[in-house]
Amino acid sequence: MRRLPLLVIFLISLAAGLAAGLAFAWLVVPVRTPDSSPARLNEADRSLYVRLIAASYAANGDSTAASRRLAGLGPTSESELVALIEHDLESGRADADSAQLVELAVALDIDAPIVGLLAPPRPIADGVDRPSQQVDNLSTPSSSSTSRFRLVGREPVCVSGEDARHIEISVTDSDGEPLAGEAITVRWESGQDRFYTGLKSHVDAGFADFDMQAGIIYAVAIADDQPSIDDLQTHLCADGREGGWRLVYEAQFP
Amino acid sequence: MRFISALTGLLAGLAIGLWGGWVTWPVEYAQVTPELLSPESRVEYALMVATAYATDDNLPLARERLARLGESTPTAVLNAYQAAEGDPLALAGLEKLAAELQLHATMPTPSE
Repeated sequence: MRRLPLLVIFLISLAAGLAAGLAFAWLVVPVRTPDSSPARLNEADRSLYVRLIAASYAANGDSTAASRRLAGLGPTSESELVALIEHDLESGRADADSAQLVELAVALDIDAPIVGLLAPPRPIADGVDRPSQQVDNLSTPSSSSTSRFRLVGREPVCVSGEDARHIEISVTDSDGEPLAGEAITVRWESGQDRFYTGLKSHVDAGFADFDMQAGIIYAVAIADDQPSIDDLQTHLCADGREGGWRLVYEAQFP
Repeated sequence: MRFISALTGLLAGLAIGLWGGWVTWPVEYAQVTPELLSPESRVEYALMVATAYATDDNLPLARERLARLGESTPTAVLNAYQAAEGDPLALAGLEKLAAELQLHATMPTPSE
């Protein structure tokens, strides 16, 4: 039997060692250095990351940072934001998270039908100079003729045997048809929340609700109107449980 | 002589393979959790959590979000302080978070 030259033996051994080394390093004990970009996040954490970007934008209004962060998730990030909004809409989720996603999509001017539907209406320029409405001033409820919506119903809500600490809001057009995508602002002494009708379309396209806390007084404003009500707080129901309120708004103009 | 040649080749190959697999061409993970993000990305993540927490005051949600950073949470929060310079909202959120989560006592030296 012919003997292999030393060089061939060396090269064969080298190749075998290389294969064994790579297999060990990649498959048996792979190095886990924390150096991944957000684009490599798994699906669940990508959703969480997008919601986090939206929450951060809702807090600081920094659209440049929000845009940069969203871009960091890769080329599909905008479509993932839209998919999350659609998912929330389909599952009837209508909390602050959902409203923040819509707010972010509007701020980044993302072109998608669902964003257009849920975006708050842009003011129409009429060429007449007029003072801007003081949205911050929520001390005086308004039902002036310049408001787009008027409060047509306010009734207490009680649920037998359990607390019902929430505000249920229905918004309709001047013909009584539910209006989706109308912004609702609820403010209290130490904060505010903004959300939209239509995210619980299984209830009503013009419906939205808000969870109250006992002992806090809330003001509610629809769209860019002044607040129509500023004294909402939980009340005591006949069975000793706490109740909330149902508010019905109707557009004053077609 | 043949044995020495084979052993030398095997050891050299093994060394090159390990170096290549761990240093030059390490495994690149897809589907990672926030814990495996780069230090800069984890700081960005902590900044977003703090900014949101500064306005919504939702501690359970902030905790849940930060928990995704795993053991690197204190480091990320501490390094976020430096990154948040000039951003009062983020700084306020970080202060509140650090106090609520009692991170001051356990915070490691900044940076990785």
